[in-house]
Amino acid sequence: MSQIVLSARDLTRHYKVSRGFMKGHATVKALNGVSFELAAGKTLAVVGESGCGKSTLARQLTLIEEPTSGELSLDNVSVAKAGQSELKALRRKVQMVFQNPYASLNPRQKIGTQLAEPLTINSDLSAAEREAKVKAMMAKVGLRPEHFYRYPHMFSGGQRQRIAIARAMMLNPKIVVADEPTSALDVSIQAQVLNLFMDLQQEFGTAYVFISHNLSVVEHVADDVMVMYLGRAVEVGSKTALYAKPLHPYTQALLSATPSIHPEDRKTKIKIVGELPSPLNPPTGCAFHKRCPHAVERCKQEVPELRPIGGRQVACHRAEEINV
Amino acid sequence: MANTVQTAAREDLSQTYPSPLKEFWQGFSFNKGAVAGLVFMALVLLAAVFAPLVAPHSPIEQFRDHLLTPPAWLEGGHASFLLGTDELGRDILSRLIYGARLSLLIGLSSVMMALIPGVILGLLAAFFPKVLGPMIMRLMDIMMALPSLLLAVAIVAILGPGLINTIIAIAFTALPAYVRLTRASAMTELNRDYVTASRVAGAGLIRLMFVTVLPNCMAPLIVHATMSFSSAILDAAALGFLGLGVQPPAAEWGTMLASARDYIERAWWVVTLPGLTILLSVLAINLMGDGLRDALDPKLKRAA
Repeated sequence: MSQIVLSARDLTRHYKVSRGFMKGHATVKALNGVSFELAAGKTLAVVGESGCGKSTLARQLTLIEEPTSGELSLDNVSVAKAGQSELKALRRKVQMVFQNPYASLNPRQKIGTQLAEPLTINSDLSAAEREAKVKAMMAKVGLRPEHFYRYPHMFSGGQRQRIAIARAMMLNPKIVVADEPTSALDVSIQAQVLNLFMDLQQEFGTAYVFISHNLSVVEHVADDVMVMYLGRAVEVGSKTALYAKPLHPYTQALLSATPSIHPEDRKTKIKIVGELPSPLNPPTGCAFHKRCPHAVERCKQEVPELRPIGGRQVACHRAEEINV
Repeated sequence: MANTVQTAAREDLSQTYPSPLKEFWQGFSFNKGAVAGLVFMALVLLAAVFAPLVAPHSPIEQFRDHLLTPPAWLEGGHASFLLGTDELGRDILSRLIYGARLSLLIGLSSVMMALIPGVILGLLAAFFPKVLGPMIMRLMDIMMALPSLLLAVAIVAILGPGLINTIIAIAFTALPAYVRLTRASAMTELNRDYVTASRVAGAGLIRLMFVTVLPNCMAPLIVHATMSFSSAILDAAALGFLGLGVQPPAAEWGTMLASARDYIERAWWVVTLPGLTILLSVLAINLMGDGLRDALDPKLKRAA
């Protein structure tokens, strides 16, 4: 069993939003109790539709925001209890790759300067040593040495994303949070970037939290999968088990919606009707009950907890009944 | 054989890059207007520095026999007064050359004294949007609500007349525009992912402000700074006219312009020539500012 580098327990993040003049504040429960563990060198994929809290989770994990409640430990150090200097050390261990490679690079800085920035801030290396390290990393992600002096606008989307990955890897972090890193790229480049992710993982033993809404991508890279719905995890388990036999009705619907080029693999699509409910005013009981084809009276009243069924965790009252 | 040598040479070229200064000059010199502006300003600056050598007369010497002499090329002009004389018989060319000293000093220093604190306050307002930001912005709103000349007059009245106090007063009234401009563009940049990436990499506040965000906010600031150079010279003239700025008989472009307005029908050159000098300097500085903005923007540089 490899070492656990990231563990989250009941992580919540609520945002206060103004509803207008003289109306007071409302609370958006963007993240509503998420727990998971991630071992070194493994990949946890977080999937779910837009607005389910994936990116909010990423912001908590990368210490950009503090969670409202819950416990987050990075490399066995509790973030909430860490002091200033410990926090600074923790920051080095988590890096992030963003969704949009056009916005994640500073347009006024040369690639070399940007890649060296994490080293400038966090190490005492001389300029020449930094340059050597940057060039070595650039070679690893498939950039040529002369790219060192170029500006971001001179690169294509795929190249930019590789630069962003190189920047995240500069400090040799334990965890990299990738927030939909391939969704802004076209399909031929997606595979290239995903393979780069996996090569770097093998080389450095980095753990990935891979946020995506593309289930084929997830199947390609993930070890474990967490399916989220409205700020909660509805099913967490190993990729093989989850893809072979999804137990939560939401996971089933998601997987059935994945297009496949093999006609024999095509399943009947389970249609989910309606919209994702507003996190301002979430439904009572199971958040999914309004759109669930199997919902009964109990689902409207009781919030289902994650419980172990069939080798993974499922948050559904009727998981056993509907999966016979 | 020759082919391999050529490729080797080309690869070598791609490895060695011009120094930042040289690269900047390449971008700047690409813009012909900017170079023209730079040449003009360099000439004016040289003339100002070496005024005693360049000017044909003393700027305050009054030639009582030659009141309101027209420029040399006109009928009635005099060869020793190339651009004519003013109502007190002082040589206009000499006054313009000496006046460049004060006018450029007022323009440059008041722009700098507004730009630097303005940028710092604007960045602070953008980075601390909860308490400090609104406080700074409301203060700037109050300053903006007062007519700028009135505010400048009030400040000079408090500090006392004189060159330095005039500069301080003009800089102070120009401050809110810089704060607002900086804050607005910094706020939009702050939401971009590259700022978050810097933060995740552990960048501190100072680094985020001045290394990450500020270079991306420079374009509107440079344009505004070059534009306000001219209004600084004219504001200084207005203060001088009210007896609060540069005191006569010291030569200064704005004051020359203001004091000559009575003769506009009889002797057009007395008012036109200082006006033209201000116009050309401002034009040159604006062209330079444009070139500076383009040279600092990597997207507008030709691919390296």
